[in-house]
Amino acid sequence: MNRRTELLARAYFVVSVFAILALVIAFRVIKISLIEGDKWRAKGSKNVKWMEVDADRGNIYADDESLLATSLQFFEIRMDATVPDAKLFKSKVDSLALMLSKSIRPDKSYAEWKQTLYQARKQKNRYLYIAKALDTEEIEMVRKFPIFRSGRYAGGYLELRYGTRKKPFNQLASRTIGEDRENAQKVGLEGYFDKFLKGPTDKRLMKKIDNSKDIWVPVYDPSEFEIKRGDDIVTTLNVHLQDVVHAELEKQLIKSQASAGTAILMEVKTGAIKAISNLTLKDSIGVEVLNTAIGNSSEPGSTFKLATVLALLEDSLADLETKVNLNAGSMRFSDRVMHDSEKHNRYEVSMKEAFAISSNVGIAKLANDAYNRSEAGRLMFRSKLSQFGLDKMTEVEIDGEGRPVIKDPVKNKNTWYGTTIPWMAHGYEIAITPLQLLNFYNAVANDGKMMKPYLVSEIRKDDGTSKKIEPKVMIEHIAKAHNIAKAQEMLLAVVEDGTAKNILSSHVKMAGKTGTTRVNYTNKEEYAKYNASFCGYFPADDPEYSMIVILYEPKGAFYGASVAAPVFKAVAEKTMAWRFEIAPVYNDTMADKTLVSMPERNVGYSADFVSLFDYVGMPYKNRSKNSWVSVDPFETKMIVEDKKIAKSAVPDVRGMGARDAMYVLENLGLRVAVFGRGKVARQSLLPGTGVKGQQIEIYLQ
Amino acid sequence: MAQTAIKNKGLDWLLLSLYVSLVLIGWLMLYSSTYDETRPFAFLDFTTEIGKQSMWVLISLLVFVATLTIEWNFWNTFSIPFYVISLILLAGVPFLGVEIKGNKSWYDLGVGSFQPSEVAKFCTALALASYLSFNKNNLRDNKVLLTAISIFTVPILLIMLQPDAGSALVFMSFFMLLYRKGLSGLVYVLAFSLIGIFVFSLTFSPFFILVLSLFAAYLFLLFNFEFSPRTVAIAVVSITASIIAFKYQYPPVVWMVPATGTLITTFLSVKERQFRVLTLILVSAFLTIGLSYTTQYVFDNVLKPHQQERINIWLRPEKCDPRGPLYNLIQSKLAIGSGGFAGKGFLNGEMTKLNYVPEQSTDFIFSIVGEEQGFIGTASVIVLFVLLIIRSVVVAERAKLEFIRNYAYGIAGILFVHTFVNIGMTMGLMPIIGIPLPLLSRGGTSLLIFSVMISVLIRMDASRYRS
Repeated sequence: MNRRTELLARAYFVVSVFAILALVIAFRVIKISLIEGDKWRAKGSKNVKWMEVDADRGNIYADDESLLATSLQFFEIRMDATVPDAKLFKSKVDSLALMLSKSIRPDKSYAEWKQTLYQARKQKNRYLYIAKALDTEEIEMVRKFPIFRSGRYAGGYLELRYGTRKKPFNQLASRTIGEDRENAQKVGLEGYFDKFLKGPTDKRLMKKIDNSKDIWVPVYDPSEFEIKRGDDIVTTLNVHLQDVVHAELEKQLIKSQASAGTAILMEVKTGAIKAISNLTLKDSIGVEVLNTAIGNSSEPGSTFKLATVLALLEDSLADLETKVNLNAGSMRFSDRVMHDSEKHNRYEVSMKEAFAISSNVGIAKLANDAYNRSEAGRLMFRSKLSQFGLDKMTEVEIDGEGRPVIKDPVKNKNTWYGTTIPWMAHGYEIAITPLQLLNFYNAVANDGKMMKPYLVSEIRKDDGTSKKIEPKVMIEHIAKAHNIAKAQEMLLAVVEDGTAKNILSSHVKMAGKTGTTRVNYTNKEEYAKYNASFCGYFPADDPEYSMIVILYEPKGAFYGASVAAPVFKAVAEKTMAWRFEIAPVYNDTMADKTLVSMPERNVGYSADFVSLFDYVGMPYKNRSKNSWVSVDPFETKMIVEDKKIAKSAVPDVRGMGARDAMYVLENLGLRVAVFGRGKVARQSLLPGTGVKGQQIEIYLQ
Repeated sequence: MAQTAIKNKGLDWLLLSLYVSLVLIGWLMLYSSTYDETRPFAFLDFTTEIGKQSMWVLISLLVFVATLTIEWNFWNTFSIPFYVISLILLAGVPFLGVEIKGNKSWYDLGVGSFQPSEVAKFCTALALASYLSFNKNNLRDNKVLLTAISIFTVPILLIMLQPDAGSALVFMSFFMLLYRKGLSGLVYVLAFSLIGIFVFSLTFSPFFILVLSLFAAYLFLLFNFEFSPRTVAIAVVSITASIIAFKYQYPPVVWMVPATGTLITTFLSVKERQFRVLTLILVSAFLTIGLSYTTQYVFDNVLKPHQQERINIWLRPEKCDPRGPLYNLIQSKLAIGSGGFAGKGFLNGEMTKLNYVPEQSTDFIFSIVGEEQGFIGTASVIVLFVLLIIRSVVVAERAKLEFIRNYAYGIAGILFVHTFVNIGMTMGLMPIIGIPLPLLSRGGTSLLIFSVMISVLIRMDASRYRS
C-alpha cells in the first residue's frame, strides 16, 4: 500500500466512523421516539398537566354593604432547596434564616432555621415547608427575602395560594347565601350566582416535582400571574332584619318544639327579599339545612282562603256581607265531612266574619255554591287563581324553586273530585311554596301589583362596572282595585277581630291570615300533625313589608295564631322600631353648626383612614407606619397611632369593622363567630389571651 | 476577482443550502419554544430572547455573505496573527470575563456577550491547517508533530482555566485531521482503549473486566497458536464452566479452579518462539485489569464532584437522584419521546415551550425538535448534519491545496464533535457537556463563528475552479 492510497483509505475510514456514529444516534432516536414513545408520553403526561386555577371568588354583600360571604386569601411558602446554586445558597442562607426567624416563623430560632435549610439542601428536599396562612402583606415581604427573591428557578421559591370562604354572620341566612362546596353542588346564592362569583377560570401548567409524593407546583412563577377576581354580588338581604327574623323564628322554634320553621320578609313595593330564614331544630338550636321557603311546595291551608275570597269578589259572586251558614262548623261536601279547626256554635255569618274566624266550612260553602255547580264554574275558579299568579313560579335567583301544583278541572279530570273545589277553597289539594304564597299576599298589600321577588340587586365586576337589577313587575293588576281593598279589609279584620287578635299591637298595624294545616290527614293511625302559619303585611295602612311565617309540626299548641303569628308580630314591631331609628326626622335645630362632634375612637386599616380623612378634609396626624392603626379624637384632630397586633396573642379588635376584625383574627388562626352589625363592641376572648385556634365571638353594635 | 467568484458556478450549493436550512430550523425552533400567543411578533422586539436571536441570525447571514467575498489566501496569510489574537482573548477571559453559570467564558460587550473559545476554534483550525500545509508529510518528524499538537493544546489549556470542559473537548477533534495526515493508528487504538477501559470499568465491575480480558487473551491465544486438541478441549470446557459459574454467581472458587487450570495448561503448551507475543498479551491483559481497578480510584479522587455526577448520569444513572442532575436528561428524553413519530406540531410543544427541559434553547434544542417535530424532525436534522459533515470531507478530499484540505478536515471534525456530543447527550449517549448544536442552538457567538467557518469553507472550495 503506497502512501497515497493509505491516506485515501484513512479518509474513507473517517467517513465510515462518521456514518457509524450517525447510525448509533439514529437508532437511539428510533428507540426513544418510536419504540419507547408511549412510555415517555405516559411519563410526560404523568409529570405535567394543565390544572384549572380558580379566580378569587367574589363577595356577597347585604343591602347595606355588610359582607355576607367573602374569600380570604392565604399563601403557603415552600422551597425547593436543591435549586439555589452553591454560591447563592452559601452567601445568603444566614440572612434568610435570620429573616424567617425574625418575621414569619419566630417559633424557630435563627440557628434552627439555618440547620433546617442546610439539612433540606443536603437531603435534596424539593418541597421544604416554610410557612402557611400568610396574608397578602406578609407575602409581599417574604418575596423580598434573600434567595427567595431570586424566584422560582434560581431561588427555589414556591408559593401556593388558597382561599377560604367565610360567612361573617355564620348561620344568618346561611342557606340562602349557600355553600361553595368543592366537588359538590353549590347551593343558595353561591350556587345560583356561581358563574359570576367564580369569575374566569385560568388554566395553568403544573408539574410534579416528586413522583413519590404527588406534589404539583406551577411551572411558572405564580407571583408573575395576575389572579383574576370573580364578580361581587349585592343582595337585597338586610343584615339587621335578617338577624331579627332569624332570632324570632329560632326562639319560637325552640319554644314550640316544631321540627322546622321558615320565614320570609319582603319589601312590598319592590319585591326585594329583605330576610329569609329556614331553620331546622337540631340539638335545641335552629340550623339552616334546607331552603324550605323556596324549595318546598306544600298545601298551604287556611292562608290560601285569601285567594278564594278574592276570586269570589272578583267574579262578583259574593261580597263582604254575603251571608253564609256555618252549620256549627261541620258540613258534608260530596262524600266527605268538613270541620272547622276550632269548634264553635255559629250559623249565619258574613263572608268577612267567616274569613276572620277562618271557618273552613264557610269559605268552602261559598266557593262550592259559586263554582262547583258546573264545569264552567270550576274553570272560572281555576282561571282566577291563574289571574292571581298563583300557578306561576317566582323565578327567584335560587335553584330548586318548588313548582306550584294547582289542579285544572279539564286537564286533571282524573284527580278532580266533587270535593276538590271546597277543599281547594281552604288550601288543600293544591301545593305552593311559602315564597309563592307570600308573593300573592305581597301583591294584595301592594294594591294588586305583583312584583317579582328577588334577592340580588347588583352584580359588580372586577373592572369597576356594575349591573343593577331593578325591581320587576310580574303582574300589573292581579285583581280590580276595589276588590283588593276589600281583601285588605278582610285581612285587617283577622288581626283586629279574628283568629289573630292575640297579636294586635299598639305599635304597628298588621294585616294577615292565620293557617293551621293538617299535615297527615291521610294517616288515620298517627296522631294529628299540623303546620302553623301566618302570612300578612305591615303596617296595614301603608304596607311596607309582607311576611310569611311557618312552623312545621309544632308540639303542644299548633294553631297558626298562637305559634306563627307571634313571630310575625315580634318581627313587625322590631322592624318598624328599627325603621324609625335609622330614619329619624331631622329638624332645623339638629343641623345647628355649633354641634359639630368628633368621630369616635376607631380601629382599622391605616390606608383606609388616611384616604377617608383626606376625602372628607378631616385634619389628622399620622404617627404610625403600620397598617393596623387606631384613631383617636384629640381636640380638633384625629390621631392615627399603631395598633399593635401581636402574633401569638388575641388582639383588641374593639372598634374595628366586621371584615377587618375577621381578617385579623382569622389570620391568627382563631375561629371567628360574628354577631350583630356595626363595629365590634365586645369580644369573647380578652386581648392578650394566648392563641390556640380556639373560637372567638365578636359582638357588633 | 472576488465578485466573479461569487457569480461563479464554483459555489457549493449543497453546503450553502444545508447551512441556510439549519439556521432557519434553529430560528423556528427557538421561536416556537418562546412562543407567546399574545405576542406573535416578539421576534421584532430585540429585548426578548427570540428578538435577540433574530438579530444574531440577521448579522450572521450578512457576515456569511460578506465572508464569501474574501479570497482563500487571506486566511492562510493571516492565520497566525488571528490565532495569536484568539489566544490573547482566551488568556484574558479569566480576568476580564463575566461569569455565567459558574464558568468565566464570556466577555460582556454591553450589547451582548461574546465567547472567545468559539473564535479560538476557527482560528486554531486556520493555524493548524496553515502550519501543516507548510510541513506536509512531515508528521513523522517528532518536532513537527509536537508543534502541531501544541497548536491546539494551548487553547485547550487556556479554556480549562475557565473551566469549560465542553469547548476543550471540541479541540480534540483536530486529532482527526492528524489521523488523515498520517499519524500512526496505534495512537488512536491506545487512546480509545483507555477511554473504553474507563467507560467499561465504571459501567461494569472491574471484576467483570478481569474476566473479560482473560477471556480475550484466551481467544487470542487459541486463534494464533498451535495447540494440541487436548488443550483446546480443556480450554473450551473450563471457559464454558467459568462463564456458567460466573453467570449464576457461584463462589469464585468454583470457576477460578478450572480457569487457573486452563491458564496453566495453555501456558505449558506454548512453544518457545511464541513466548514474546504471549508475554505481550498477558502484560496488556494485566495492565487492563490494573487500569480498571485504578479507574474507580481516579474517579473518586481526581474528578471533581460535578464531573463525577456527569459521568454517573451518563454511565450509571441508577446511582443518580432522578430529581437531581439526572432530571435534565429525563426531561429531555421525555420531550423527545413524547413527540413520537410526527411530533406535536409547530408551536405545540408543551414541555419545551414551558421551559420544562432546562437549557432547552441552547444545549437541549434537539429535544424541542423531538417534541414538536417528532421522529421525522429529529431524523431530518440528523440527516442534514450528516450531509453537512460528509460534504465537508468531500470538499477536503477534492481540494487541490493542502491548506484548504487541512482546513476542511478541521471544520468537519469540529462540526462532528459538536453535533455528535450534543445530540448524544440529549439522549443519554454522551455525558452532559455543555456544547451547542451548531447553527441551531441559541447563542450569538456560536452562530456567527459557525457561519464564518462554513462561509470560508465554501469560498475556499470555489477557488479550485480557477488557476
